[in-house]
Amino acid sequence: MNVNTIKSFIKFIKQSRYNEFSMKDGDVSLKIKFRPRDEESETIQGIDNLAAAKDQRAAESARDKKDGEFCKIITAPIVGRFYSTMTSDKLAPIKKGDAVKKSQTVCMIEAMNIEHEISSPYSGVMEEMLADEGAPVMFGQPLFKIRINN
Amino acid sequence: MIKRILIANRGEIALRIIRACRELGVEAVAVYSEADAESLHVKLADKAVCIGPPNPKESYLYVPNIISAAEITGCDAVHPGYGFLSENADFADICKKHQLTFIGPEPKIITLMGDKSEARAAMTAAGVPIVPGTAPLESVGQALLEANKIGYPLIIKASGGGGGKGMRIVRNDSDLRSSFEIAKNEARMAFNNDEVYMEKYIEHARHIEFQIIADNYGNAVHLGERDCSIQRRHQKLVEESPSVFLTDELRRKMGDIAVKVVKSVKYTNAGTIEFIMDEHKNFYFMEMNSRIQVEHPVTEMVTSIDLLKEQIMVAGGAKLSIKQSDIRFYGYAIECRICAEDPANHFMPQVGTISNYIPCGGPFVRVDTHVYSGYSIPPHYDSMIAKIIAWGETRKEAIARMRRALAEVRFEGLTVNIAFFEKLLKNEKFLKGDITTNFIAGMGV
Repeated sequence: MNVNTIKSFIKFIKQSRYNEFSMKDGDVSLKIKFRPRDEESETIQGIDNLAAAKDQRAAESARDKKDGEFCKIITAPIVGRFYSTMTSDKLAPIKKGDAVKKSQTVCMIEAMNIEHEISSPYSGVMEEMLADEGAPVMFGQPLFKIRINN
Repeated sequence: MIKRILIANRGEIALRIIRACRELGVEAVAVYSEADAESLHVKLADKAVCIGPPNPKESYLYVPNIISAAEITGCDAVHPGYGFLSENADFADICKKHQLTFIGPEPKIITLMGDKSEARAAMTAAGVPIVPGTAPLESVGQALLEANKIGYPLIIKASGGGGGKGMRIVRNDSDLRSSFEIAKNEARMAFNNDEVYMEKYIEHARHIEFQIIADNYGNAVHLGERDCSIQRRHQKLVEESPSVFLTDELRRKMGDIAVKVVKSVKYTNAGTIEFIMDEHKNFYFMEMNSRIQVEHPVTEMVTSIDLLKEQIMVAGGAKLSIKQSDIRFYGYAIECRICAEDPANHFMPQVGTISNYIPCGGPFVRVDTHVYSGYSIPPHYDSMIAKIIAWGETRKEAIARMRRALAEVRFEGLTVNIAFFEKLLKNEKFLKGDITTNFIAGMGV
């Protein structure tokens, strides 16, 4: 299978109503997966909440102490689009109540067509996901609230 | 036509670009560092995206976050302003690869103009007078040979440089022997490139620059000159247009050359060709700045042409809206760069909060600033906080208006360099227009 054949597959899938395609031809297997794009978020309206995010971050960072526990906020280290999964299926989305280890990949930020794995700087329990799937995120924007156990 | 512009800059120039966007019906997306969250460009843009921490290397110079910010906000163009990434050919190239129109010249032109020895070679080929000088120098021995061919005084310059770094004036063989390696080291430290060359040093020089703008169809015009001779350590402080030193004939000749250069290198968008002029009115090409300049408002005031709007329209594929024969110069304009610096203490940069800002106003005074009452000056960036521009029918009237404006404006809570301008604008030699690039050094400030 040459590059042009792959390119024509990509074009075909893009124009179809499918987001995913896989095939096998002898030793060669091919999987193409697109992220469903919310057209609305492609417009300037998609970042309406960005300026507000800074205030939210400040409020969230205030340690919300409860029975010897407190929360930390994981913020976006780069600008891009937030996803809780990877197109390669390598990452399962983490849900509220899931245990999170320090350095564990917790989400993906797509920037300049590259997926960047974002890891947690803390160990704890995922309390809340603060960004929407596929939403644009800016530097410093809150992504997750993690409850730290002392 | 361009619909939405990402402004890859901060401060007053970011605001200036937002204003041009508003008037053209184009949306403006600001980017900002964590230190600039309260900045006016963030408040006035249609949208704003935080791109990193205060250190410019991690924000205003960090290309991936800037490109990504343009992508997530659906921008179709990027305006780099001045400074930061404005003359970075790689950045212009990356914008292009990401289907973003870079509002400036083509990357290869930025590369050509950024390399001073290559730019000199291009100018020689276009028949533009250049200061007698050398090719890049390998050794002090070669430098001594060349020096004796051209004659002293000479100035050693860095090929990859600007802003006065790596520059040394030498007046004899022994000066050259002791300064050559120092200049190379300075160049290496500042620009990661130790290549240096020498030029004849012009004594009693004036800095005269021509504003040009060109479209993508080979049309180019010049918008007259600016005299930027009032400099401190190669940093401009006062700019005026027109220059009292130029005759109409000389203005026409230099303007024609500027347009010829632009056409010969197929330059597009706005740019400035800087000349150095000696006391006998001989002029030589110095360098070309491939971006909008800080001092562009003085040109706007005497021509009534909005340079930023022209930049955006030309980048969007429009033909120049003006022909050379349409351009009229009327009156005089002068600009003072207000910096948070203490002139009484070696122009030491000041940081702090402007507790109360009272703008100057009245007829024919323009203020380009991003400050407001309660604004804190972040310590991470340039100290310029405002540009005051005054227009008058005559130079005398423009200067009188500037003095009036400087007496009105207040930046309470912070020391700024206004006292320096008040002194300068009373100086007899300045009032006569008898200015050179050494003027401030001679004023004893």
